[in-house]
Amino acid sequence: MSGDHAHGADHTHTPDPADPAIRVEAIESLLVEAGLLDPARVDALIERYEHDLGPLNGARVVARAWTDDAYRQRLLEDGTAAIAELGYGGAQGEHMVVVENGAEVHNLVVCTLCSCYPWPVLGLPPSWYKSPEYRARAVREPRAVLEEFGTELSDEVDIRVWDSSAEIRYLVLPERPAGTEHLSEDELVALVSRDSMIGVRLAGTGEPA
Amino acid sequence: MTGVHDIGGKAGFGPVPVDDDVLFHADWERRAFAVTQFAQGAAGFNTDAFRHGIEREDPATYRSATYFDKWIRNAERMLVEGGVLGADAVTAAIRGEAASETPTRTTDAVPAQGRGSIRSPETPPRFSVGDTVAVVAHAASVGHTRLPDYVAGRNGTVAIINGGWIFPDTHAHGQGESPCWVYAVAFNAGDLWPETGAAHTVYVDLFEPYLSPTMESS
Repeated sequence: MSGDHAHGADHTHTPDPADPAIRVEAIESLLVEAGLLDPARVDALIERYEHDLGPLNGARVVARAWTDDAYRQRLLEDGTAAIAELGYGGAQGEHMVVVENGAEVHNLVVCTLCSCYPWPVLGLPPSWYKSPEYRARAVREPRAVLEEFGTELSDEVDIRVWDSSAEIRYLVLPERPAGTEHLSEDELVALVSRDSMIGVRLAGTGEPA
Repeated sequence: MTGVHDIGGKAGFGPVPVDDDVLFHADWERRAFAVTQFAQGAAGFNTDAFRHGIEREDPATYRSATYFDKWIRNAERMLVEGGVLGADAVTAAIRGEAASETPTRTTDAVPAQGRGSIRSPETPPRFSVGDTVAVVAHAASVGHTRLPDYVAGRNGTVAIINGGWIFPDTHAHGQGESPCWVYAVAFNAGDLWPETGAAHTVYVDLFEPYLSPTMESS
């Protein structure tokens, strides 16, 4: 393979080979030179996962479940099929299980071994979800973790933590906030934060999806 | 393999960085996300071999490197082991030098045979919802596993039969898909970490080879 590269002898500084930004650029260039990669496909993949997929998909699923009880039942019985009714599915969502939060039960999702996350409904995970602190602590002390997100639950609430250790992906169906009976399905979408579908916050709090 | 990545339930970690909320911190992280996936394809690695690549990171580097730094280091590892690039190719390219090492495939990884990871096991599920099961004390191999250490050797209760899947422990090493059942197994946090006084339930998706009947149920 050719050693030619854009970082040539004309530069007065030496690129640091340990810098990951330099390294990813070099790897991409080598794959392109070898005819193994089209840079346009890199751009398209980034565009898809950063903008096309995202928690708005999950929020639509949740708002539908809040307004259509038959849909809610189907969602809890076969999450993958019910989510597919709204057109969502694919990589990292081959088999999705939906767990329902309510007054007595609160579910929380983590991946202790890496960063598994339901891409078709939530997009890519935020940095904190991949942090060692969240991965280590969510299973052991979920109440303390929830409090760091400003989520305080009564001692009576049954907390269930789901560790995504295989290929099943979990989505939390948050509890519909009180006083929202007059809102339409579209209006409810705005109340469903990404974090409420991971289970670290309640719906109606945090940034909209 | 109980590696440096297997941190569920470990004590001593500080606050969750709840304000570190972004998907990417810099443009190179976007490139790393995409380029690493194409590198996986070019190197002929499956998802399980990909994950095992990250788990084989030097432990000190695993702890200190950022998430997408680990990805791009894994991209290079896969391309070198897959025989796409020589071991010195990336560093040489950055320095504007010619690579001297010949690309040689050294991995036993193979691409997945067919789409996705759902497969039909040859036998019906060994366990039913409500069964008490014992988790093996250690993973069967020194290689890749999806058995988190914090439930190894513990007893739990089958909550859901979650379908049939490729077995990562063999698939990561080119030893076949070995389809098997996966169960969501419920564990009492008070049993896992009695010192914490915790009363919640932890559900872990476990592959059937990790499980056996308990003394009471057998």
